[in-house]
Amino acid sequence: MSEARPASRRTFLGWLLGTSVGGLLVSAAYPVLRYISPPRIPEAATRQVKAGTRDELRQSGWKIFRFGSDPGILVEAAPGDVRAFSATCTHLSCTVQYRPGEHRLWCACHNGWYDLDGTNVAGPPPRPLTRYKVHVDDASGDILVEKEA
Amino acid sequence: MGTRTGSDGRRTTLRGWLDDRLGVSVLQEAARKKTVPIHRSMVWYYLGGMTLFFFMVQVCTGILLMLYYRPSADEAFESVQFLMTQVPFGWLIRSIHSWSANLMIAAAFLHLFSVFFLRAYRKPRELTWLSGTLLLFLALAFGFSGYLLPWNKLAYFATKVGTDIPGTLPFIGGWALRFLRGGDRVTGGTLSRFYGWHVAILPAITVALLALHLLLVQRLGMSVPVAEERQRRAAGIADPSHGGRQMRFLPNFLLRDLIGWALALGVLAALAAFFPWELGEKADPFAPAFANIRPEWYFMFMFQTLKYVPGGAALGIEYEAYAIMAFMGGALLLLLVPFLDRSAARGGEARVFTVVGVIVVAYIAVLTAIGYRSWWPILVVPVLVAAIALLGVFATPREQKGGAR
Amino acid sequence: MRGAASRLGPTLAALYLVTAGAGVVRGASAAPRSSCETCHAGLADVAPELVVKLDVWDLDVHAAKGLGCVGCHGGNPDPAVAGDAEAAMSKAAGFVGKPERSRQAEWCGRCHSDPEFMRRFQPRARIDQVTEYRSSVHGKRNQQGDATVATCVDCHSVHGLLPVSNPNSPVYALNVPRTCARCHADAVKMAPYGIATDQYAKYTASVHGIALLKRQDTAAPACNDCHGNHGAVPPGVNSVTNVCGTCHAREAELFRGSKKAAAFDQLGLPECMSCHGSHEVPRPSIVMLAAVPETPCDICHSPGDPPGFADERASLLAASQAAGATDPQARFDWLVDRAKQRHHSAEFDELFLKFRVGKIGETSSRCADCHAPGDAGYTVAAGFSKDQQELTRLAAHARRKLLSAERAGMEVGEASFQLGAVVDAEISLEVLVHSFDHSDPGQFAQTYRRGAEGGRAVLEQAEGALRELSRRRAGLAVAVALILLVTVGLGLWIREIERSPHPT
Repeated sequence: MSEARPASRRTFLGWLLGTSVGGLLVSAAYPVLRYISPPRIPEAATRQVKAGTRDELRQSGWKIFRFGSDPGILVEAAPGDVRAFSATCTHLSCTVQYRPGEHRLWCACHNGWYDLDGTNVAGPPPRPLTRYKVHVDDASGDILVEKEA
Repeated sequence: MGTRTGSDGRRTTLRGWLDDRLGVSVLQEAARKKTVPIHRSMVWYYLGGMTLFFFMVQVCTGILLMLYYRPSADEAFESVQFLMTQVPFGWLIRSIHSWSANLMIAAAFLHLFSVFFLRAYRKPRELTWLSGTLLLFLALAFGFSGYLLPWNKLAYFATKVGTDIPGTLPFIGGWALRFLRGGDRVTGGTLSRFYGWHVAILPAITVALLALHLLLVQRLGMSVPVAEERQRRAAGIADPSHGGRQMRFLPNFLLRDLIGWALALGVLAALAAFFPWELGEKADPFAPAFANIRPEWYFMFMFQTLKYVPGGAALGIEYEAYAIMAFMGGALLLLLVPFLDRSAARGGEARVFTVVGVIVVAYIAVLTAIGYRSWWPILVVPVLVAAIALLGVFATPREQKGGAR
Repeated sequence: MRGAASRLGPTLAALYLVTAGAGVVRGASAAPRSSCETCHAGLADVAPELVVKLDVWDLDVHAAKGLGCVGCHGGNPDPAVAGDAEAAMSKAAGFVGKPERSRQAEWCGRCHSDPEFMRRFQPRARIDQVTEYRSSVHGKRNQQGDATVATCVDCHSVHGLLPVSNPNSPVYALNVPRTCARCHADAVKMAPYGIATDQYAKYTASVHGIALLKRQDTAAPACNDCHGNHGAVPPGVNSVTNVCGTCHAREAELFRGSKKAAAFDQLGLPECMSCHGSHEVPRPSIVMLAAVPETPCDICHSPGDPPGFADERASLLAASQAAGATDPQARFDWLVDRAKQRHHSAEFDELFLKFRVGKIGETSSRCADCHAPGDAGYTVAAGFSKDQQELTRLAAHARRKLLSAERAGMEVGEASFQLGAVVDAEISLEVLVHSFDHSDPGQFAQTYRRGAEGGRAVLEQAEGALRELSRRRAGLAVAVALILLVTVGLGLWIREIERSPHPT
């Protein structure tokens, strides 16, 4: 047996081991680096969500927004008076909408009506809509909606 | 690497520079000299290293999870949901943390029972056993406190039931329950409290105990099984842990350790990708408790035992409390095993300890199986033992081959 | 009357002593029972028809308001005259006895039609019940001397009359159908009038009956919500839309604005009822429209979705043949049952409701009952049917993809939320069918397009999530390959160094 063969085998094995360990380290470091880099959205929408902007409301006076996995509704009751409610009708869970003519919230499914305090005023809804707190950022025009604790 | 010496007699290489300041070469020398005895049951001695590996994974992923987790009843669930869905690779980190926790406890149990059956706890390793058993209890405490942190329904009710159990103890029950929950009920306060235990108090104690455990392992070397020891003594070897057939720790033993760790990492990655840890539904403290409340699998045998305890009381103490005290007594006996087993210290193998050990393992397996209404907890014990023994056939160097001195 | 009273006199006196001793009189602290109560509670052996059970009477809304027996019947309630029927029921003390059935409404109306009296107790109460009642079929027949038709006490009960808001009242929303059915489901009682007795049975199986009686949704209509409370008459042919439109406002509005409204009136067809029926109103399903698909499976599945669907469909068709469901309708309905067995979960039950999957045999009527293939109405109905199924398939497809992504641990909350809007569009299409207008750009066509666009966007997100999932698994495969390579490398390295110990 020549002396060169075991030596070159050892070199090859060393190379193989080094490369694969290096690859493994990279494949372990990559997810970690991605993980610690800031995500697209800085935090979870738990109790607060950006529901829209004042400009969006100016056009139609109302807007449906997403709060977690449920819809919410944003209404400008009077200029500068923005209100937010859960948009899920308390009767059979359809999504309510704003009817500017009546100045009320309306559920098209069974003609349920709520006033702009969220109170069920006509039709089948058994309970008022949940109302949310609204903060309007005057500088940016962002409308933040917050669940009561 | 050669050693060059500068004009002032100090070495100029980086290694030399560091060595002058840290004394690395002393450690290096010690590591090079460290050996591990070779024998047929050697494979079982890798389980401690395996547990250590999972613990290191827990530390790394746990620290990463803290970047996004928020310990409050309002935000815990949402922050975990956010972490799993919005943060790149958040799903991976959390799944690995959850899976690794379970595998760590499984490895720790295997480690404990292998040490028990091989009687590696005997003199002079009583303290090693003591610290190791305490580390297992700490691991269980980690599991119990970590389970609640995602604040989902299952964890909430499991915690409620789990903290109810010490509440039935006489005299200290009420205090123990309030101490665990931080109040009378499981609330957001309990969550913050469990978080504190999970990420600060328990890790601090664990690191200290782990250091002691590892130091003792270094100081005393690896034990050899009783029969092997007898043979070596007969062959005139005074110190069976360091004399006779030995394998160098560096690199031979460590490389084998690394193979196991790499395989464990692969298993973790596969589990995380194919069985991502579910988040479930957010906990609602006012929802009625649902059927099928289940603790983590490693508490199942105790949980199931308590189900069989009838209601009622004797001497003003509930039957359930007697069962709990029996488990506490069992834990105490487990800690004291090296002091109870006198014959092992004298190089004997008391049959009674083996029998008791087998009964305990069988009891745990059967009760867990009943708890899950499934056969696999019973099957998994022989399968694991067979698999590890089979690995041992490949991992243990044969006689007359390299590695032996 | 007088004779009877004097005959009863001594008996009553004795009874008074017995009952007073037995504790019929309320506790010492409470006011003593009136003369009326004392005697009438103990008449069981003498005149059972005159017994008033005090425990029931005490719950009566009139008793609770302190109106007492005399409030309606007059007389002298003084406990002192309890043994003396003459004194207690003397005309001089205003005793009026009991009204004739034909005058009962007015008897109650003495107070209930008096705004000033009612205002003292219930300022918001209506006072037109008697007027309404007299306008109803019940009221008119009652006036003509028919002693069997319902009058006030038949529905409201008496001497234990509870307010409408009390769940034990026979006129509480959930109890109304049962109360009406006491007479209207009784073939013997209805025989003289020649009217059907199956309304209650039909109603309980209807979508309204299920909502009210099974789900206890008091907002669902009971008999009175369509027929009126006191003025019960069957709605006229032309007012059906107004009656249904009380709740189904958009459908009514659309129908009134459609070409159908005038045509139906001309033909004398009862508007909504022509297609939906009356008491039996079943849950409408997509098969009401023309051009029903070959199998109900096709409402949610397209040929390759999910893989293997085509085979299962073919084998189910063969099985239906074997089960003897050979004609298209029987086969369709047989397959609906199979679909419900195949997809048995609360989630699917809800989906089947939302997607309007139903049996042909369980619809009240269908477009094709009147329209023949090729005519304008049939074409419109077929157009509706095609678009609705298209959107349902799209939504179902997207949902399936989202579910499989979700089960694999992917976050699809945003897409699920958007899918909600697609399903809303689908429900809107069901409403917009009542415009009978399939023209583009009509409301239906626009809503369909909006829904379809949304559905495709959701589908794309779901597919993106699944692609991401396979990327994850590919990434994992790379990692595992590397791990295996490391393992093999380490194994070989160990063998190498242990074969020929290398000098360190």
